[in-house]
Amino acid sequence: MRMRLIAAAASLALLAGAPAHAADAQNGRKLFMEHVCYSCHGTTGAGGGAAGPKIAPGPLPLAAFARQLRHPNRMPPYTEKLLTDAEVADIHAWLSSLPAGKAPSQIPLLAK
Amino acid sequence: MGKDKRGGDVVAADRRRFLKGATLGGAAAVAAPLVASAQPADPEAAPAARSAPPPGRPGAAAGVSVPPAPNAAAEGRIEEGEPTTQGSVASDYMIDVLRSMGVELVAANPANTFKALHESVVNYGMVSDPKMDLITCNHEEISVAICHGYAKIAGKPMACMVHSAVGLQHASMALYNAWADRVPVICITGHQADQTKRAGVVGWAHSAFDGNALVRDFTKFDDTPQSLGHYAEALPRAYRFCMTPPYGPVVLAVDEHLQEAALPGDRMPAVPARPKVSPPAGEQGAVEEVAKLLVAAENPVLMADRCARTPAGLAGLVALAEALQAPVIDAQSRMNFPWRHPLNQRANARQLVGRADVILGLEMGDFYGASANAPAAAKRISVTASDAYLKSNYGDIGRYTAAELSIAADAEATLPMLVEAVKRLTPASRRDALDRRGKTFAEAHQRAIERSRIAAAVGWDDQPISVARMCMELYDKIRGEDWSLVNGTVFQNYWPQQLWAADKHHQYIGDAGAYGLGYLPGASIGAALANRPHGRLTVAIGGDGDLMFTPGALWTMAHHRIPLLYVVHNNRAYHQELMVVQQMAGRMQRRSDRCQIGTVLTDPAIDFAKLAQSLGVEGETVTDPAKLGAAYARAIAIVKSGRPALVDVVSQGR
Repeated sequence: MRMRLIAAAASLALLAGAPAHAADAQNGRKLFMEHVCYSCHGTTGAGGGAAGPKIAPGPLPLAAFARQLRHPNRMPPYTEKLLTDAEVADIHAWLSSLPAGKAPSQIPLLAK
Repeated sequence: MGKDKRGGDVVAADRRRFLKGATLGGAAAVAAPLVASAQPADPEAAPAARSAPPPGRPGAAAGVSVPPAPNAAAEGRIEEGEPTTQGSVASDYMIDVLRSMGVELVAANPANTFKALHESVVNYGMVSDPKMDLITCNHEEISVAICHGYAKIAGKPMACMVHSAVGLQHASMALYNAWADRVPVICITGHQADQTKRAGVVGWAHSAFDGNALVRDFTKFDDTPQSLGHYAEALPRAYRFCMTPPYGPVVLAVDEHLQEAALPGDRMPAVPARPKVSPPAGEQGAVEEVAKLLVAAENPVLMADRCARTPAGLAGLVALAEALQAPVIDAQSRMNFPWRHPLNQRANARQLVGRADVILGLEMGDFYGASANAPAAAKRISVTASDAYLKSNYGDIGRYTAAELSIAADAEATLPMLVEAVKRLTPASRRDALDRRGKTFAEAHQRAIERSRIAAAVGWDDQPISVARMCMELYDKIRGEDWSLVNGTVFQNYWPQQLWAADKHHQYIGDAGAYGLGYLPGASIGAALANRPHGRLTVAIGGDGDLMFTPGALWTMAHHRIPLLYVVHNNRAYHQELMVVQQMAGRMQRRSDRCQIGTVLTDPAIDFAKLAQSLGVEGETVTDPAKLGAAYARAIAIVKSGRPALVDVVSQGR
């Protein structure tokens, strides 16, 4: 898992021309909360309907995730001024670390 | 204690006499000493003011046997030349006219400019048939909202009474909600036409030469009756206007001296009958043209917002959709179309509009926005009674929508003719193609449900509790009941529409109309009052921010034993505004965390269970999703015993 995160961070770094960064999922969670990402996407990235799509579990690949943050369609843009590439990678690492939830078939209230 | 000619207690009239001239009341009440100190300094004080009884001895001049309310003693003034008792009162007649209009309930917080009407409700309307009831409120905004919610379930208006000037000012936003939501409300405001009878600074501050002007932009009709005969025409006219689509609120400013006067000869004048109202239906030729366009269309789309005023509108839209096998996109201001009907294509709206060739908009609030991504060649047809009666100062008129044909008529009343024309004009050779189209939509509907189930599962065990789970745990507990969900669901991501099954008109009544906050606590009371005779389980899911505007409604729920389950979607913020301020910060490339300043409701976090308990409503707070179902079950048991219950669900923003 750790290797995968480093590799993902490296791909973002290549995108941005910066040195590779060992992503820190714990810092990513802290940043997610500090930047109030949860207001639209929920506290675990599960999404908020029309307010914001699901971004976890199973986020976009880091490069696409970073592109969406830097050049979004609807959401506020998060440029380098607000989030460095390393911080983006940290957030992505945290979102990637979140376990897949139950399938609807495993939830009685959704299986009916 | 004597009896008047109708058997009423004369003491009641005496008490009215005693309180005459009290200038304080309603939510705008100020401390009594203000009046007392203001009077001597006013050399132009009216004779009535100068004849005020000495403080502490208010009953002495009037000689009444009913003990006064403590503050009234200091505030009361006796006007010269007025009777100490009287055998009849015009306000009783006014109540009879209200009852003739079918009004069974009046919501009010007390205020002296309608004290005679108030006294008549409690001592005449509530004790003689058909019996009325008075719903005690803590804010005029709540009074109007109760009328608003009631009318959407009952299909008829109830009345509220509000103080002159300040009371109507409090009521005004709720009247605007009712206006924008096309809902009938009869609002009676006190008035004091005779300036010489306005007592002191408060009496003047609580009066206006044309008080109704405040709300004229967003009421269908207002009047200020000058006589009982005038009142007997004004109220039926108000009723007729408010119940003619587009429905809307009406206001009568009723002079307090007119209310308090004795009836001529102490006899009750003839009471006018309730007008029968026939809604305006579309012209036959125009309806035929619409039917031809729809039948010929390859990709027709039916849109409805406030189409179903009554269950007949719901049935009519189902008949039209099935005749055409056309998709329906419900804009959700009413229960226009069953949520699980295969032709319900709310989930696929954007895709369907994007390829539509004919779009029929039925009482659309935002036809422009709903059809914005339609192809340039798409033909839009609008059917709305709002075209026949609208005002343009406030923006609920919406953006202009270029339409192929606009029919200024009530959609619900027009539907039977349109359905008949569609059936008649559809060639038999086209039936197979229509059936195939219908099957395609049925499959799309099922796929949408599956997508929703998958989406609802994500974050199912989250804390704060996911909004999907908040809704689905609730549905699990009410699905076997005759339930009525009385809130709009936009802030709950339309989860009920996505995953609940509903096919009855009373199961969903939409939102506030103008999205003015403070609506739901009152509106849910009104809806529950209308549902109660039918034994329905009334459920409301409302925001914490909304409830903080009108928390006094909780006391009204408790006081009147309203059987209502109130679920607080407690995301501890004015969450929509948090998101938009964040949007602005993003634009400015500044910090998001500071956007919580002024938008979140924390430090302290509001304990809605305790708030409810303090106002007499049993409530509990739930933070653990695993405990939510049991909490709902406990609350529903309370509601079934005839009392309100609140469940405070600490939840995700959306």
